Amino acid sequence: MSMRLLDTELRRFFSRRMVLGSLVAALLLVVTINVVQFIRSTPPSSTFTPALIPGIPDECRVGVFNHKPVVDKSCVEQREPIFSGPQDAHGQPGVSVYFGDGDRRIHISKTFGGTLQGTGIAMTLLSIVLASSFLAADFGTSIGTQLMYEPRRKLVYLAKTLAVMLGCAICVLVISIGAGLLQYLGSAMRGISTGLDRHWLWFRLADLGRIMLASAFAAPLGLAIAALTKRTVAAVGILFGMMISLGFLRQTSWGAPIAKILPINGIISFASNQFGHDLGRGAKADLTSLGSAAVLCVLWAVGLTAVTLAWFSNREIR
Amino acid sequence: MVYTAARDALRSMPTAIEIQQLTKTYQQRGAPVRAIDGLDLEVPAGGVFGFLGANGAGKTTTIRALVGHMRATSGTIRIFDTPIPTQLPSIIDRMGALVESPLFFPNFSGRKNLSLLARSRGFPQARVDEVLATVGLTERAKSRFASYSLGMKQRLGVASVLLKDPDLLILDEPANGLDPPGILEMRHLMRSLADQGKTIFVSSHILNEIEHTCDRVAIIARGKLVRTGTVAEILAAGTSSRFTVKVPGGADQREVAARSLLAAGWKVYSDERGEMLVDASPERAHDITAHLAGEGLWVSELSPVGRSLEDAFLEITSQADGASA
Repeated sequence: MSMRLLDTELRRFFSRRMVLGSLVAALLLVVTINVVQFIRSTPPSSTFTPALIPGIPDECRVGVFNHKPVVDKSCVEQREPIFSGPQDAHGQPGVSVYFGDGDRRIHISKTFGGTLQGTGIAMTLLSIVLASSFLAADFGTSIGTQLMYEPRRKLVYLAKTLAVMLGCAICVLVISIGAGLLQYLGSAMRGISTGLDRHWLWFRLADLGRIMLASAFAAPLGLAIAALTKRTVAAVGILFGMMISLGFLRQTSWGAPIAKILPINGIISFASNQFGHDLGRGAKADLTSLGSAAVLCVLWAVGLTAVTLAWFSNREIR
Repeated sequence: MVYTAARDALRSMPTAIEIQQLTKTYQQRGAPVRAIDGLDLEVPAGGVFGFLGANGAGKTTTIRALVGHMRATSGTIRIFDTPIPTQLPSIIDRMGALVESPLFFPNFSGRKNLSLLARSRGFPQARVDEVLATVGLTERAKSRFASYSLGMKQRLGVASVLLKDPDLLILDEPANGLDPPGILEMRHLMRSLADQGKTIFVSSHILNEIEHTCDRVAIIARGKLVRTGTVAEILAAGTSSRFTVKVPGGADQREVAARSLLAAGWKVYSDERGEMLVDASPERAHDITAHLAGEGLWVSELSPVGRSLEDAFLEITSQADGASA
């Protein structure tokens, strides 16, 4: 494929007010949430008594407040009992210790994974809207002029498909990096910034890659349905309607197999990394792995793109 | 065929567009409608070629088939001896087209729209500024396309055609929405491009413009070619001419003369200055003076009225309509 054409389509994608507006709105939302978290970022209400201090592993100490150590509760919980205070008759700690509940400090190593998990589906849905509106806007306006410069329609459509896939993935990347950077700043300035090791980075990169892929899978679906129906609203309505109907379909014996193979099910499962919806009859009628979700997404994306390519190649352009 | 001589002359010239037996049939409420009906057309390379026809004659459908926006039902199209639409990509850089109204992304500026087109073919961005200047849009280049007037949109459409510096320009109603100075500029632009050796295939309903701009014209009616040739050939091809007839004695005598000619079966009109006009073939012009002399009215002036392309077009298309009816 002509890289020049792909470059042009990417520029066309990122020149759209809807894309830029969505990016700005999403980043503003990220900033707002992080500012609120930053303001609310306060240390725990209870700390350890000095008597316990020697028993706390160093890697669980995450700061100092009021001259007393602050401990990462989850870190401590993963270890053997560390209490060295007075014991009762049964050898249990005689001192009741409150491990940092109420700790509202920003802690990127704990929260960023959740942030990605929580925003994954939302960003995938945003991709559907951006992709759907991209082609509908083109078809309503400049496609005839574009074809006077590149009449190979299949190439044009493929370039647009790749551009929206890349464009939507880039949008997810920018928003996620924005959220990550702000969380890191908040953690470093007024929270907890420990635990950012190589493992954490790999897991977060995997999360981010998965959500970017989910958005990239969603984009050609929106694009193809918008092309076939010639309406942005139809594409968004069909895909969002599928999403809303998933819950209902899964509750019925006839609907569960349908829900399983719906494209939106694959995309949402892939984006959220949650599988195996239990229907309560002992059978898993839903997707059960990331791989199966990926296969479903790819099949739908390739199938719908092929149908649209065939249709677009012979369509009369006005 | 009426235009056999013109066709023979064309055979010796290189051809920019060659259309043979082109047919396009639409289904309208279940019934087939022929928008183009066996159209044959040859457009020589170089010069301005006018493509005329009444509304619904098939002009835009033909142009859409030429640029690959629509597949013909049957027939062949060759541009620069290349079959269309199968080999269109191989000559796309040699042709540019403005079909109906200019189509651009409304929320991008004129410059952005052109810039994206240029980028898709690897043309330098300087070329964008160059063509914007050519069509007089430099000052509004950064404005959104949606904010442009109809004339400005048309200019941007022409700029998008010029961007590729093509050998063949297909312009469908390029003067649409242009003010009189704009129309004049468009005429000069087309002529200067033709003088550079380019072929301009222009469809327009402003026949005065066509008459002053085109070297050759083709007239189609009901999807068929009814006449083609140089403008002079088309003007001379009519069966009747119009004469100004003056009689001494003022309006009363003119009224008497007009009634007498009408009674004798002549077609008599009055122009905006009140002068009497009579339709007659050049061979029968002397019969007008003979008739009036027989009525005791002496003709003081009998002069041919210049025939416009509009007159010729109306006559030719009405004949074609009559023949097909």
